[in-house]
Amino acid sequence: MTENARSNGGPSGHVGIGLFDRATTVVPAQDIRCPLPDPASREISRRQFLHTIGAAGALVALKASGVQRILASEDLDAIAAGTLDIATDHQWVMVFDLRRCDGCRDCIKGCQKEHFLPKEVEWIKVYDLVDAQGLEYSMPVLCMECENAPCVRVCPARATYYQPDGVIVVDQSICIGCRMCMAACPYDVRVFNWDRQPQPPVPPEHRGTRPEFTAPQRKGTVGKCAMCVHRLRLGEFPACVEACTMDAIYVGDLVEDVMSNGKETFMLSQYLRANDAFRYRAELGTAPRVYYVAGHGQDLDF
Amino acid sequence: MVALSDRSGELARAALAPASRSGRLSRAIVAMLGVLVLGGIAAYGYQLVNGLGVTGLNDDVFWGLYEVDIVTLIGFSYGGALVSAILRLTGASWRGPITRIAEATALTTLVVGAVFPIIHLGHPERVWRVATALQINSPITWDMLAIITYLIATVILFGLPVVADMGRLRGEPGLPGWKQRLFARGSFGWVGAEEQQRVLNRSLTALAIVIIPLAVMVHTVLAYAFSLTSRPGWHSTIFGPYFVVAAIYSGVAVVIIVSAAYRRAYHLEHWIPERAVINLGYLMAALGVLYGYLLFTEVTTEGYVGGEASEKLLYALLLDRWSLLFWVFVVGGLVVPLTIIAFKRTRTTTGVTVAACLVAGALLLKRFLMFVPPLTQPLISGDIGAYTPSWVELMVTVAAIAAIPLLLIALFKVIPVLSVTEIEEIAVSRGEAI
Amino acid sequence: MTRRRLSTVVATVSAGLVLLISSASFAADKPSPTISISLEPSSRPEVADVLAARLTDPDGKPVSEAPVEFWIRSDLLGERYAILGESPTDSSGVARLPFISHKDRYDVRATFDGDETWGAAEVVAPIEFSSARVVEYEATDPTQLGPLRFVMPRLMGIVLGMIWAALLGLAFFTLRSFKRLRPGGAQD
Repeated sequence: MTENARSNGGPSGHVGIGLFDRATTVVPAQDIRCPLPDPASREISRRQFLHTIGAAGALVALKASGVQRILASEDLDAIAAGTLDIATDHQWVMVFDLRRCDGCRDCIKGCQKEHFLPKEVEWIKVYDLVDAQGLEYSMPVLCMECENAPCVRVCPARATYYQPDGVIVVDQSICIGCRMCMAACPYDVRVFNWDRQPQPPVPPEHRGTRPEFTAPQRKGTVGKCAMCVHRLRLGEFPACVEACTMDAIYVGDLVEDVMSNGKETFMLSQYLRANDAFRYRAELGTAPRVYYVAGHGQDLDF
Repeated sequence: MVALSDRSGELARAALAPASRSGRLSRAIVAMLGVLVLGGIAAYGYQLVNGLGVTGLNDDVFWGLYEVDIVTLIGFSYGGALVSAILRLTGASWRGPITRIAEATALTTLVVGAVFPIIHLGHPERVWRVATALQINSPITWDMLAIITYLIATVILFGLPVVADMGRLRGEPGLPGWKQRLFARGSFGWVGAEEQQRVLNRSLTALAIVIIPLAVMVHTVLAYAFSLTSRPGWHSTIFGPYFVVAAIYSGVAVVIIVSAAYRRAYHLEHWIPERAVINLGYLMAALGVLYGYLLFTEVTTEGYVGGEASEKLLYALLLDRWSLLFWVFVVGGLVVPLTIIAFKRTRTTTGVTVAACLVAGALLLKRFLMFVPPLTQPLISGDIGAYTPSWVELMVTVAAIAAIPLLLIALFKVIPVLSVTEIEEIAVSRGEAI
Repeated sequence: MTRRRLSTVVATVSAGLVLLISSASFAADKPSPTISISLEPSSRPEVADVLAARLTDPDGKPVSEAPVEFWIRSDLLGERYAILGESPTDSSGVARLPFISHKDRYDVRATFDGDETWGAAEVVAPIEFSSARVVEYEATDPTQLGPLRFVMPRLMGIVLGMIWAALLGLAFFTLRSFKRLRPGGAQD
């Protein structure tokens, strides 16, 4: 594990002199594993999966029934108390397989359900685009958790910052609402809580006050996807990964070099190389952590 | 010296004229301005309670009229610094009657403009965090530091000649008691002695030298909040100079307007000669030409090979959705004012004042065109955004524009409107009568 | 039926039954090959290491033309195995897969799903990679301007501080001079 990946400043390592630097709790690992409740998450090889359509059908039915565990506040308290490892030996990434994305927007619904967002607020957006041949395809875009993020650099209050496992969070108890980060983000993934729509009610046991998970969202601050890092630290998949009915979304770890969508697991570097994965607008030098496998939904026609 | 003392009493009286007269018209104006300001404060209170959702902003256009106001109002303040500082350094003798008005305009527009960075925040009560977090890489931090520095410099540039004037005028007949006491304390022992005058001149010259790069710095960092992003239409290297030139251009226009207003209202035609106003008009015209050149460069560079996003934006600006506003700006903000000042027939105080009004309004429009259309263009894909300022934003903006003359009127009740010391000193140094 | 004929019949029937049962069970009991896994020296060490899985039958003879899948064990959100790839065994019963490791030690699993002749086989073994061969994750600065972005704003901040000091000093000293230079001596 290199020093850089662990520091509180991303690859260039500079967050500033910081009179009041944020300290994140680092405790030795206690491997907390929460086995997923649905038995269909058994490991099967990729080859088998593509051939076993019946199993896929059963999985789809199970997903649609909403087997998605929403985090409880005692879990979040455990993170705060430091009894849960804040994963300093992980560097999270996500992979989107555009050969499987059908633009159904289940990922958006899963995300909104997890974070109690109104349906107008989208932390993951799905764009319907047209490729060079004039064919339509869909591309989900969420916060790229850039290693060289422009948004972290420009926040005047240091309300948005890197966590040790690479994810960028917004502390809504600090954010002054200047929206400079929204101007700086080249991917348009940050939203402002204008508080114009009624928010879905958040039951007391699901309220969150931490930067990784804030529910309900605070008015007058900026919100964005944080790769559901509050779930990742508890051994759960992000909400969009679980909600995706096409298994097109994977979460991965650069340190362990593995990626999984809950059903199929691959070696990350190998998969990315074999499928010529790319990163969106990487030429801007942001070093995003979200990879895409180019496609136009061709794997949908099986 | 004989010629001086003949008219110095008249000069002093003229300088203090706005303090004494308070006719029905001026009272009505003050009342109206006060109502507008109070309305804006009430609207902002409404925004404080209900959040930024009451504005017309949205996730596409998240910066709107408030940011336009920041840049426009702080831009106005540069004109005052220019007139006072640069004219002093170049030894322009006609500056004498105008420097006080110029500095006062710079101060009031800066003070009002500096409130807006707080107004546009979602959590204004947390603005102190900008100072404690000290995120040295952030353009917003630079904004805060630059504005504070510029404010200090402007206050000092304004205040030192006022100290001298207080010493000069404390013995004037007809001063109310409180003013006599204020002038006595505020003069810091100024009696017009030669050594004191030397010290004052040296300090003001040093300040003038410092304030010019400071003003450039302020407007450049304001520009950096936009140009240090990777958005088409904003990420342009010309933004720094663009903002600086626009600021001086509009600032000189505002100085012209305020000078002309006070000149007419208090019959200061003798002390603020037509020549001074016309010279300001020339200055404004020169800056207008420079601004036109920068605009032309920007459009040509982006239009020739700007990439798909820049092309779409430029098309929308020049020929499509925003074209009416854009060409209104070009004609009303550049062509007409420059024409007015170019031709001798129209180059009168009235003509120059009309041109200045057009320039000030047009540059507010131009800031809108610089900030909002690029935000309506989607970064990745999707629908074009839209933005209409809400009544809250409009009322706050109108209140800010009304607050400037209100503050000036209040200021000139206390401070003399002409820099008596400076006018006399210039006359003495040139061996002329005032 | 005589007793001799009955015993013959019973013997035949039971022999037939034994034959039937044993042949049936023989048909159901496919032999399971043994599979072992190791790290082989690579012919192109600058490219990758080679994972090798050897498949042998119960007699020790190599099983060739058998597809072997390679996996690594990971703890990503629960224990799961990530597939690396598949490779058939050659004539000496060895299946090979090139592999670039990102950790110094992995639990590697090799599986053979079985076919008409053979049953399934599986092995999980820790494989250590020398640190020279491990390509660890390293965060990189994609621009080389990191130091510039660090130094310049701080430099500007220092300059600004000096300007504040100069401005306030200027105002203070000017006003003090007015008092000092008042003709008739410096009276405060």
